[in-house]
Amino acid sequence: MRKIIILTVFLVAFLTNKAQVNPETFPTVTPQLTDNVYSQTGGTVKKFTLQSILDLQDGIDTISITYADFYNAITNSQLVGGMTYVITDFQTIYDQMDFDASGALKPTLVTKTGAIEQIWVLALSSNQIADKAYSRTYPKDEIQYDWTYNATFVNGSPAKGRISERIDEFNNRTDYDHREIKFIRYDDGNGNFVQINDSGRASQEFLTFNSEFTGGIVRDNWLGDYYSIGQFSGQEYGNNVFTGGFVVSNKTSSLFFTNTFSGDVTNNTFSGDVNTNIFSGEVTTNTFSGIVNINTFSGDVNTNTFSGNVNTNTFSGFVNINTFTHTNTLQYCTIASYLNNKTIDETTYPILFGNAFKKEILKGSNLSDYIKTFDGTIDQYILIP
Amino acid sequence: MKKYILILITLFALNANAQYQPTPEQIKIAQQIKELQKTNKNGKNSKAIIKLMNQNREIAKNAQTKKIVTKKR
Repeated sequence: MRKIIILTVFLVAFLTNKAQVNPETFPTVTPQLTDNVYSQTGGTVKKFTLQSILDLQDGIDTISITYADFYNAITNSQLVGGMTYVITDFQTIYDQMDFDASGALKPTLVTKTGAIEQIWVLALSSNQIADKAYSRTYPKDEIQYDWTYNATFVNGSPAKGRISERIDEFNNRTDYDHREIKFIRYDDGNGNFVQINDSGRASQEFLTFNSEFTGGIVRDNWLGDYYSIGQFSGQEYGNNVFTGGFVVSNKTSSLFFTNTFSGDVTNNTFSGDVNTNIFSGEVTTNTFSGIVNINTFSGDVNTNTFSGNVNTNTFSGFVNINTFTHTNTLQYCTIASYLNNKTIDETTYPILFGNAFKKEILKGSNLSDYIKTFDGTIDQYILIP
Repeated sequence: MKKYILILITLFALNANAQYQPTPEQIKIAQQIKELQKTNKNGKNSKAIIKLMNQNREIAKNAQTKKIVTKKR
């Protein structure tokens, strides 16, 4: 009996030992599609080929994932190349710019959070995604997604990446999420929310193309890249607002920031620096090729070419089909007249250019246009024939 | 003749790339901002970041004025 027990124990021990294998001792080989893979889970044994695994994989080419998990996967090189990752909880999160009366950023900024937008990104390798991404929420938009933006610029609040380019269904392009990011404008005292710096009055928030998604005609506008230089000029985003209902075919360079266009703005090319302007009327078919800054265009401004520096001016009436030709800067000049079909050049009107005193172009009661200046004693008037 | 063409091409290329050239001071401040962002847990550096951003705003504003004055001359 004792012999039988010893034999049984020996057999069990021997057979158990034989059943245990160390997979680390297996030789490394190049897998063939016809190779078998074996599994034994919960006492159930299975055998399947590599081909069957790959066939299964073909049906699963997307993975839903939260931003937090996606961030971990890409930073730890755990993405699967060729797989599309659906980031299910993406939201644009940003610190909203707000400027005090002097034009400086206020000491505290509010972090804003947009609506959830499902973003689809394609993994090119374990730690790389394609530039282009897709939005399930706005399938007609073309977007680029920057996954590295995991904290907001100023407040360091947790972020979920950022849209670094959006070309929406109406072909309007910015280097940020112009469906979500809003800019503050203060009441200028006349009920117009056009003032960027805090006026001490009420404020409202505006999208860049304010009337685009509420019935306005806003098409084919292309705003240049500003984000990459924002850190150098002290604000994260371009801060441009077009509140008009008809904003079409405008193209700007990257140095285009801190502007408010309150009227219709169409067919313009701004090739120079254009900043800190408030255009409150229609501005159509213009080419601004020089520096244009700190202006307020409150009337219609159309079919003009500004080829030099144009700064610190106020155009309050219709200003159309005029040509300003000059070498020195046209500055400190208020055009308070419906100036029409005039050529204002430096040879004919040198007093307008290159000096730092105030000039005004106005219409007299006789309906003629005049340049008005003050010489320290009396007002001087020059007729513009 | 070739030299002039080369110079022209170089100038053209430089001009095309000369969209925005921050001053060394602006670059230094931007680097400081970047450093602060790395340890900006719960926004503890936000005030310092805003201060630096305002410094860069001021430099950019002054550079803009200078540019206008220089062009005027």
